[in-house]
Amino acid sequence: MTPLIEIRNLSYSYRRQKQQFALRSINLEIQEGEFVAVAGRAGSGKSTLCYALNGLVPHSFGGTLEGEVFVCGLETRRESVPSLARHVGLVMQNAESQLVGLSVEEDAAFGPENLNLPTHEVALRVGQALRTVRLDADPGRSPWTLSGGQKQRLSIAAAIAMRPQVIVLDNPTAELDPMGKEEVMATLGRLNSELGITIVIVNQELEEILPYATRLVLMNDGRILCTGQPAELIDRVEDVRRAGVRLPEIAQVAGGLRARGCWPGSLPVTIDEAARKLEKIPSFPRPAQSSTAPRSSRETILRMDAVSFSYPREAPVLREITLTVERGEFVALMGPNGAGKTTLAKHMNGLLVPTAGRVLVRERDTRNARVAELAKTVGYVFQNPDHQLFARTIAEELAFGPRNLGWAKAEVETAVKRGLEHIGGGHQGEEDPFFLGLAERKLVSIASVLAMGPEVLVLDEPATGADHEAALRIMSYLSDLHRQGLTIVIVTHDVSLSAGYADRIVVMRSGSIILDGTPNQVFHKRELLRTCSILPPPVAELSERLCLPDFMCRVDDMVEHFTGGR
Amino acid sequence: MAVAAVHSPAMSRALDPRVKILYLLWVFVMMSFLMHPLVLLAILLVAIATVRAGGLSLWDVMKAGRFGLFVAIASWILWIVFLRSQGTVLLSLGPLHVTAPGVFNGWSVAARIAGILFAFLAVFQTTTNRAVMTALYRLRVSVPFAMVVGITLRLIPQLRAEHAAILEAQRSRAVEFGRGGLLARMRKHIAYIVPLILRALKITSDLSLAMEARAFDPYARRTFSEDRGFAARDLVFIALMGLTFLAALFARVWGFGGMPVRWIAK
Repeated sequence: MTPLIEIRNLSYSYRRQKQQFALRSINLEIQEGEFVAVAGRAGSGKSTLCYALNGLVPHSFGGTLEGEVFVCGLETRRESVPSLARHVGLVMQNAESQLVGLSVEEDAAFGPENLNLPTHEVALRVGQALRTVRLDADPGRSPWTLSGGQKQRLSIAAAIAMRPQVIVLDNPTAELDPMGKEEVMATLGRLNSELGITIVIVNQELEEILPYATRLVLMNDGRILCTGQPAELIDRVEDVRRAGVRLPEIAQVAGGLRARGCWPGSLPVTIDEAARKLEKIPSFPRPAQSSTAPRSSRETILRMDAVSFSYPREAPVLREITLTVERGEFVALMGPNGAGKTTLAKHMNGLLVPTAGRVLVRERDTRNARVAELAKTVGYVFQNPDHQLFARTIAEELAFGPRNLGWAKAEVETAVKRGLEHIGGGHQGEEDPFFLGLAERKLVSIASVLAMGPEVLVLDEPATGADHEAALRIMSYLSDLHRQGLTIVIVTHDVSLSAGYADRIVVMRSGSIILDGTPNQVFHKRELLRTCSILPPPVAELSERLCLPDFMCRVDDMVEHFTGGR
Repeated sequence: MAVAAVHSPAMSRALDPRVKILYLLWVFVMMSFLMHPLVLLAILLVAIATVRAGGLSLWDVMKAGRFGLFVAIASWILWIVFLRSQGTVLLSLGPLHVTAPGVFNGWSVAARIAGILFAFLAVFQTTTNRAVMTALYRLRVSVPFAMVVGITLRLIPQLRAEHAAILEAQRSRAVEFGRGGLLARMRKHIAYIVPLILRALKITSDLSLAMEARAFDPYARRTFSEDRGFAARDLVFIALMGLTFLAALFARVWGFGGMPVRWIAK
């Protein structure tokens, strides 16, 4: 059977980077109807591979391409991107950057209009595509007002309106909340199983793709490291680690047990499979230990009294929020998109002031303080480091905040030196932040805020968009700072990250706080969390399934439970 | 100045977008070569009436175009100040004489700015991006140019959001844009201009990739779904604009429609 996609000896280097190959000797065949997931760390060549499938590489990016890529019988080097677009749809990571139209209908129609189809055919295809992705928004509605998951489904609709045989998706769920991720993955699953569309998806989260993917391709340094059925590859822990991909939590638990000789056979991919084997393994229950001091013994550093907030002529975003943050806490703010998490976080350093109630930062009312004054106490790191970084060198970036605070030259120099030590990686401070990878840019942005010496650090989605290794690096940096006594508040959608690092989780919905407690307390409330579009970490589900005496939601806790700390 | 199309049931559905673009051209041409203050007032009132006819709130439109209105009022005041020693004195405010040339020439400039601004906002706030592109294409403007106009309009809300996020990110690092001397303030603005330019380049580059991946080829034939024929009301509008234009042209040729000399002479 002729494969739908055939890649032979593909090597590629971008323009002006002739010596640095983004892809090296790639050989891959994909049959019609497959659902292929591609995973690997940032810079491993996944996105370049996607662009090679629809001809953007080399037609738009230039560079040097060796080897051959055939898609639907067409050689991509000989065909133009518009002619390949009839066969291959592309969906990119950032949903907003690919919105072409100012209405849902206009956006979905853009592709078919470019194919010069008659207007009735364009309308027919648009209607069908929107129904297929189950996007029932008003066709005249601005796509900017849709949720993240809806925007990404609109991008998929725009791709399928051109009736391609293959849809290539470059990390489409990386910036979505759990609900959005689920919407997108379920849509792709339907397109594959019901319409037979071949799917090639770049995705770092093996947990997300396992229920759908028929094949997994692991990439490393521009090469294909290995390819096979997902269950088979997950058992090859060393290869997964070399590719810089995070193992699913269930497999991490089993892997931890296998390393201590307590797990027989291959690693599981489902909770059922794991539960069946764990039931046969003896456990060593221990009394639960609190890793932090009791809250009442600490100093309150941030206090919100009945805080409400609304933008002019709009519905309230926050509704009578009462919350205290105490010195030394690591708090995770969670909730669905639009719950008010970021709005609440922006009240902590005075970027927003309440329309009712008050926010006290070390007893100072934010309504009577300038953001620049509060920056000495509360540092705020934005989600996208590109919104923050502008200087020509890392050292200048680190010095920027302290200079704004009017510090003396010697103090600024000390802050820069300390910041460079924090970032690590042997940086001397002369590098241009613009040319660093995402993880390092994030670390520079965090260090540049820390340079002002705040007592509380608020971070909006610190690890979103980063690959597993980068996320680990950012989170262990934050964990070190927390151990040194810094109070940390993060806004996140990542349940594993919250369970693994935070000692307190605050869950919001529709501008109100729904839950507030330790990770074990919060993730135990499964039904309530579901109403906030949050699914507990798989370990929490496994813990419930096994009816363990102590509920747990961290991988390490569960491994310890079954090994007794061996 | 904000330009974001709203789906208004009034003007946007009533008129073909080509007529709206021709109307914009009509306001511009009429206000360019007619100088009589009363005629300019009449055209300004027509422009304001189209705002209301488009189902838009005059207050919202004024808010969206506040920078342009500020420029119009500032120009009027400057004309009054600069021409304080010429022509008939209408009013004396201490040492400042308000003269007829200052008032009427200033009014001509202010009315033109405000009229064109109102017409522009009335058209673009009631016309979708897609309709504008279709209209330009049907008016024989090249596809690349029509697309550039459409994409520029589409980028405005995104760049505004980026601008707001960057300002907040820098304020969190203790930047106070409104404080300090002129030079210090200018230096502070680099902190948001550089990231904004870099983000604009990234957004534009991503968008061009997304468009190409959806088969966009500026030199190929494409369908414009919003394309529709002229209705009777469109033809009536075109006829009205054509007739008033011809009338204005003949009036100017015969010496009417200019600034009345007796209004400004000493």
